[in-house]
Amino acid sequence: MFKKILESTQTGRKKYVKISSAHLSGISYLNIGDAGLEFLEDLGRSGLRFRVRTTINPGCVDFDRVFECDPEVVEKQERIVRSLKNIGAKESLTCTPYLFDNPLRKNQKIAWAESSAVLYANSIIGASTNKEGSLTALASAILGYTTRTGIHLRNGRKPRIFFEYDGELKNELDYGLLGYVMGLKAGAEIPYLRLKKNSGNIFYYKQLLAGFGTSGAAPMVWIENLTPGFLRVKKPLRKIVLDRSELEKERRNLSEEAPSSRDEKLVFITGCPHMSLEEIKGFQEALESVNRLSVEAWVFTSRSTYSEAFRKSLLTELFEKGVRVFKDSCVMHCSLKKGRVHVLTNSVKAAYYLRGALKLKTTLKSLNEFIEEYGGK
Amino acid sequence: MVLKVKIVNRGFAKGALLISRQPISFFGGVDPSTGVIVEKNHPLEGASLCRRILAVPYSKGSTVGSYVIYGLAKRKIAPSGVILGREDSIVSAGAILGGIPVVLADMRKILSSFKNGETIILDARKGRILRPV
Repeated sequence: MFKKILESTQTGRKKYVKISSAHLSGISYLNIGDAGLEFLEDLGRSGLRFRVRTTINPGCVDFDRVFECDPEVVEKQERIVRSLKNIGAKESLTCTPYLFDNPLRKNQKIAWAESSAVLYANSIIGASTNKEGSLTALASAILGYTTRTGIHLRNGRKPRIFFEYDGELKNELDYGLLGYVMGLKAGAEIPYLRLKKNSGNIFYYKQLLAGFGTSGAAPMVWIENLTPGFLRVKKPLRKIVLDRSELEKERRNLSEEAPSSRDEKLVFITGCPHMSLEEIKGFQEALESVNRLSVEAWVFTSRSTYSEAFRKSLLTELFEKGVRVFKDSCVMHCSLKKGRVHVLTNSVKAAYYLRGALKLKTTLKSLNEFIEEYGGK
Repeated sequence: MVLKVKIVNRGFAKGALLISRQPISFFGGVDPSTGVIVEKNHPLEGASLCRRILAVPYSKGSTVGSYVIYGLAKRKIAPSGVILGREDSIVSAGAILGGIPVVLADMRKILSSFKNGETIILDARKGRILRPV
């Protein structure tokens, strides 16, 4: 059955490649519903086991804050995670498995779902994975191999479109917007990116790649001075110069005017993709000069990062400022499902999906813009 | 009339043909408890997939659509066969899990050879679609 799923994605001669790691999407009960739950429970009872190290995406519930969600949703989310554990998955519940739970090496062949993690694995670490779907990644995890298509082919990593951006990129949000604009223009083609003013840290690029994965279909971006092997790759001839106005346009497309917090409940959400230790530290430091925040702030991260941050006493300071830190779940959170809230976020990906799937109103704000506007001295 | 097709998932089905000229979003666009297309303004809004042979160019939207097809099959309200216009791992994966036969065919040939609603036989063992005699 699982071999057939991989076969169904290719015509002609079927070719496969061995993998050493898998990462699964389609974990949240809000996404997969009862049908997905039933399937995973049936699979859990079948006795099959994952053959490679397999991690899983976030669900929709933080298991230490279950009271915030509908009890039925909590129970079903628990059953999904339990079934996957029975098949051998690590209970990572994160979209950033490359940080702690499923570390990668350069050139490693893997089968990962979750677009932002796929883009990071290929573009920052130099591993090889296509953008697998929930079920092809699951099939690959069980079989230990995936289809030899796309990025696994000889010319599969070749960039086909050259982007140049010479404007300023002030913060993580600008990087996310640039990635989103690139994805809109690149379609399924792998781009090569040159930034004239190259200043961002790796976590800014994480936002760029998450934005790109939201609007584009390609599994990687060649980033000059960052992606392993960028010097040897042949630059594409087709060149597109991007400018600031395109970023501003998409920012407006994903933003409504933020209402006053007296009229409507406002929540600032960050951690899409899940925040790393360094990002949590950065947020905590940015909040040092602030006494209190006038709106709620929610941070999303993985269990592993959470416990590391807790040990380094980064979280207690966040708690003191009233910041709520969630793990196991993501911005597509159970409590937002029916919530009447207006979301402020520094993540282009979060804004896109909160608008599309949950029909919420959003306003894009970088961390610093948020702190300036809503932090009281 | 016999139309040769490519086999994606082997099997055999007979039923009324339901042709969708537009792609279908199974997650969100189909009610998982009834098998009825609920996507607003879809040309087939209100049509039921139950026990039909569905011809669709491809699917759109979330990869979670596979699970919806599997769930319909478990409740025995799924299409009895699927004809796809091009490879589509979301539909194929769900159909394989649910034991639904799937073939690949040229959608223009389907439209010119068969009428929407007529009973056809989908022979995904020999790779052909035919009219019952």
